[in-house]
Amino acid sequence: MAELLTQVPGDAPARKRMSPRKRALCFRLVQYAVLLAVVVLAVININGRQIQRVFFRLDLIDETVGVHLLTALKNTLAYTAGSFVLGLLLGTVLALMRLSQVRPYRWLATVYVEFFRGVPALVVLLAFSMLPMAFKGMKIPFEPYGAVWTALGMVVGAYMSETIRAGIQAVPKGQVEAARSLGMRSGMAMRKIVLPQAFRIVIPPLTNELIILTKDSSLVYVLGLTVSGFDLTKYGRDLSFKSANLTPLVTAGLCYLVITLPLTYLVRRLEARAKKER
Amino acid sequence: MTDNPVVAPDPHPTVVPGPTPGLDGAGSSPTVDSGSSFAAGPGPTADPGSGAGPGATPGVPARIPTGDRNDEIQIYGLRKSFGQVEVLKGIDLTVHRGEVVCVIGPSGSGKSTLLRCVNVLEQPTAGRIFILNQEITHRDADVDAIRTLMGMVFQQFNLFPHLTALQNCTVAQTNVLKKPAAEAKEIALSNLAKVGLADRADAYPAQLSGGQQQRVAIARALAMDPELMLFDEPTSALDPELVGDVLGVMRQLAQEGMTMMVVTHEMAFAREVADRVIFMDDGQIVEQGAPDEVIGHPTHDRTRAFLRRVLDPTHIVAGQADPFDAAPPPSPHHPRFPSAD
Ligand SMILES: Nc1ncnc2c1ncn2[C@@H]1O[C@H](COP(=O)(O)OP(=O)(O)OP(=O)(O)O)[C@@H](O)[C@H]1O
Ligand SMILES: [Mg+2]
Repeated sequence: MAELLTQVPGDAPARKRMSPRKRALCFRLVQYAVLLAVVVLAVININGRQIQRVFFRLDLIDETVGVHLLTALKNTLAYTAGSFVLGLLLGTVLALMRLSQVRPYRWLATVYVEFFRGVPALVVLLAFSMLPMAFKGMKIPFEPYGAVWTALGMVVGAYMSETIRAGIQAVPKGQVEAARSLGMRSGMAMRKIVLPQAFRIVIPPLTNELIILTKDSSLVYVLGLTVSGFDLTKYGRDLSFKSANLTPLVTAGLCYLVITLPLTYLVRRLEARAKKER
Repeated sequence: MTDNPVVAPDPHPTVVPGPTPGLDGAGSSPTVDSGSSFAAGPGPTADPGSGAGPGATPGVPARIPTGDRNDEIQIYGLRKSFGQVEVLKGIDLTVHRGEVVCVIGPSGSGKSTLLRCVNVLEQPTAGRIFILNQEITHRDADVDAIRTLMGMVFQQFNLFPHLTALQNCTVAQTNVLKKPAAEAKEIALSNLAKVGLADRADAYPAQLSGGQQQRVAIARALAMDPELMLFDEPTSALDPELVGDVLGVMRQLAQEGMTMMVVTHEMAFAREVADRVIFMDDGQIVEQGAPDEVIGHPTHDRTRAFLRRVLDPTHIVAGQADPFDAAPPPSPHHPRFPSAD
């Protein structure tokens, strides 16, 4: 209000000032000028041929793309999908525990979530890969996937539980009341009425989680994997070392975009749809 | 409010089959004030060890529950506090089979809380509530089972948005009553037809208008074949032009003899359909009786003040925003401020 009042015509200061419209125009022109300067400098200084030689050598792209890139892509997908499913189950259980009437369940879940959100995923992954070494004769099934699924699943489950809990709490209280007033017991109301709606709400954030997990699956490069278990990162890094050139790593990196970009697009669509339904 | 003598702690009393009065008469109006109705029960003779002697508080039945199956809802000494705030301050009420009871009163007077206590969506702080002589407030009561006897309709509809209208009407039938899917569907469709929405069975709630949603909500409750229905301001969230359809369905239900407890601000509806109108204020029943008495010739100042607000079109519709001032207006005329000019 007060600002508006100072703008009253008769009240204007005597000193001549630029109008807001003109000032905005000037500011935008400055921005364009800066951009132009940066581009010109880059074009002058960058050695295009060298860049191409280091990052995009055609023969190396060809070599990278061979049969094994597909295997690596499949492995990345397998590591991601398995961890995601495990994390989803674990996250749901943890979310229900955190909302439980039984206090010790709430404590347990809280401790779990805080621990696995606070510890680097890499540490958890390494720990799981060393379990068979520590416990003689122990074998984690589905070698090499089992250890990765469990480790990443446990970490991502902690994050997902928070998302799912928020989703459950976002279902209006009236939904439970309507279900209970129809004679449903609380467990049934949760399964039939609340959870289906909660999952609808959390699909976009969970898809985001999936995108992050896809990239985090690259952490398996620290494990002593055999070639058949290589994921995209490990595969690209190996070839890059051999050829002393970055092209294979860049190629592998671009493959992540093939997975993540459609997912990003999907999230945006889902979020737009959710906004419309609200 | 004096404490009610707790007479029969037996949670599962033997139901005494009383003579069922004919309820099909369209014009019949079983208006009874609660005081006389207690005494009029065909009832069991007072238990000698009951403590409810001949000098017992008037309005309290000789036996709790009465055992009369026509006393579908029996509320004794109901109190409810939220933290330090006492919202219900001792409610005694009996709703009879086939009776339509409309509850009116200013915003915040505890109408919704009363209704929600009846099916213990809100746990009472004190008092006992019996539904068909089963105590729903009893510690060991199977609340979920007793709730299937009552349908509830909410102000905000509370339809399940992830289910179609039809599925909204079948989900509890198949899961709670364990009805076969085909039978549940048939019942659901007939109830949707009853509320005039058979053709929208496959629509999702978001695809329906508010009035249609509320009618689906009524069908959903009816599909459980309840003994009685609770309505909490079923038309308050509706655009004015959609109110009529919902009230029409409720009117029809009333004519069919459904026992109904309706919290409403629709005075015309209450006047026309109710057998009894209850005026609540500040957590207490201030006045009750036939609609023409309570709405037409209220005896209490608070009732008059409230009705003046609701019925006077120049005032904001009561119950929406305007907090009710319990103090009677200083003059019998409209308490308008003289315009300063
Ligand atoms: N869950 C709750 N926690 C705390 N206070 C509550 C709760 N529910 C209701 N109340 C309070 O209890 C009082 C009575 O509320 P209630 O909803 O029963 O009133 P009402 O008569 O239905 O009013 P309205 O006409 O506005 O619906 C209000 O003061 C309200 O703030
Ligand atoms: Mg209310």
